[in-house]
Amino acid sequence: MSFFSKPVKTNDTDDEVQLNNYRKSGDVAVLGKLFEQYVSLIYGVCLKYLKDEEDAKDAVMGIFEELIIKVKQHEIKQFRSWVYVLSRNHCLMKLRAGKRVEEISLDEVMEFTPFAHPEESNREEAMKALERCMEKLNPAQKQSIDLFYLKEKCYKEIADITGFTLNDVKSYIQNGKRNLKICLERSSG
Amino acid sequence: MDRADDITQIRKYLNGELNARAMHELERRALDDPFLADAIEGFENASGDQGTNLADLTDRLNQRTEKKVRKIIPWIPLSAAASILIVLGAGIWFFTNRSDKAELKRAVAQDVVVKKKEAPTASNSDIAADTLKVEKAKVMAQASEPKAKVARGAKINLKATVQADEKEELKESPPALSEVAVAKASAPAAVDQSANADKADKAYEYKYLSSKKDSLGANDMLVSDISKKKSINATTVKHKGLPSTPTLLQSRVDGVSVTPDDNHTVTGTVTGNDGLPLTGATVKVQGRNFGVVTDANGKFTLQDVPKGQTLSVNYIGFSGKKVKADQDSMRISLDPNNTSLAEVVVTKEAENTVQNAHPRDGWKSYNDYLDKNAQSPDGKTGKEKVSFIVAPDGSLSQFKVVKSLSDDADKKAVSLISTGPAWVGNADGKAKEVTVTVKFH
Repeated sequence: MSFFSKPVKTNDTDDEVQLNNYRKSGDVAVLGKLFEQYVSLIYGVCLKYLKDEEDAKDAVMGIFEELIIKVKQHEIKQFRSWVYVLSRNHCLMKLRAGKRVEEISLDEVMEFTPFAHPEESNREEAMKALERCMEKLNPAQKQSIDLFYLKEKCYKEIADITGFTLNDVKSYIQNGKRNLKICLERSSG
Repeated sequence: MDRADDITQIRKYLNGELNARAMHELERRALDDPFLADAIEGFENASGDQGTNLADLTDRLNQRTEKKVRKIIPWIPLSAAASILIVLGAGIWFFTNRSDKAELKRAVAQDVVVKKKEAPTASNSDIAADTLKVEKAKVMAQASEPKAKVARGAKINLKATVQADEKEELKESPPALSEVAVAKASAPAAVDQSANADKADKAYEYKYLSSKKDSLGANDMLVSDISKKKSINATTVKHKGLPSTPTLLQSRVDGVSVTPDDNHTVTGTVTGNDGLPLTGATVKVQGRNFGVVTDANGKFTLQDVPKGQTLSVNYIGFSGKKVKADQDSMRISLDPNNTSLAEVVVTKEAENTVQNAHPRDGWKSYNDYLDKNAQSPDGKTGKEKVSFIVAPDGSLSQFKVVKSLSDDADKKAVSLISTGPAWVGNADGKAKEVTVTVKFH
């Protein structure tokens, strides 16, 4: 059961070193190097929210400018998640012209994978709980989760096997995962 | 997986170039990582290859980070260049300013001469002072001529002017004013000359109180003096290097003493032809858009009126008068204007309706009465018209049937009217014939 583990390798220590270098030297180039690693992701996020390539590019540059100032003001534990929230907020601010959108406070750094890694001793127990919870899912979610996490199929394959559309598969897996998480937390708590 | 690979993975994923295993890997990561998920969604929604946009972004980012580095380097040469520019600029300004001043001086001198020619009667005011022949100024000017360099053109003009004004008496302003001041007051060009002389020749001294007069200052004073037509009373001029801007010049003007030449204050009284003062008459200097109003004693005071100006005096009911302001104290009498306003007659037409004979309680209640009681005596229905005379006292007589319905109806109608509500006679006291219609039903 590896799907609750965090698949993203933590380069956070690298990030932190570079952030500290920037804080000390004030050299924008250092920050630029760090930022460059995230540019494509940030650009993707901006594209998602702004839906316009030029706007997205401007937003990325705007985020960098914001970063230059804010890196010095905030204590950053996880640069990756922090810069994500910063980017999202930046885009939402831009969209705000028409309507108000909720903004996430930068200081409440979001944890992406809050799942506790099951300890070895509890593993058996956790497995049982997981199976119990899997049974509670609706059939479509259960089938998708099963195919995705246990059989390790990709969305496309699952769609081919089950006959669901790709988007359906996606939402089944997302919702199923959320339901599982809620169920597990309840049973453990 | 390295972050730099994210975008290639995403692109391959979206292009369907990844195998099922790698697709699964990315999808799973996206599920755990909203950052990645959002980015994939963004790229997914945007049509086309974002590679060029990303390259562009990287460029921009590099430019942004490099710019700071470049900015730091040229600071020292930049500041050096800036300081050189400043010094050069200051030098150029200084020199051009100086030559400007010389030009100004020349122009002023000429201007002064011209003005002087126009108004040669400058000094006939009544200030008691030492007199000085212009000749003296002329001598001074000639003495200084060889050394005066700037206002050469003016000097020539000056000689002519001075000769023209030779016989004129010049007045000298209060206490410590020097010969130069005198010359200036009467023949401004001369001052310019002597001022230049001063500059050139220290041996010739004149005083403005304790300070030395600046030649250009003097010029400007004169210019202002003439152009403003204003009398200036103080006597001090401070020596403060070369004045350079008009503002500076103007500030000096206030300190110069020059006796008033052709401006003066005019006072006077406005009266009617009977000699009684007119209060509230307007006195206006022609060609200017201001004026004063006479007080309760018909007196007025107008300041700074140029000699020879025409005053226009007006008062309601009197014909206006135009008078030359050639005296300081004037007596202006106005002749009454005999055109009178046409009479206005307000008339109102009398209201006949009220004055004529009518039922005492009004026509409406009278008609109601008739309506109510007009029961046909013989079954015939229709209109019956009866006329009668209403006497001034309200009594009714001489009933006549104008339109008959039947004999019975005639009698009934007459009795209805004669025994009905009271009437009021005509207000003018005459008997009035009234016709009433009775509708039988």
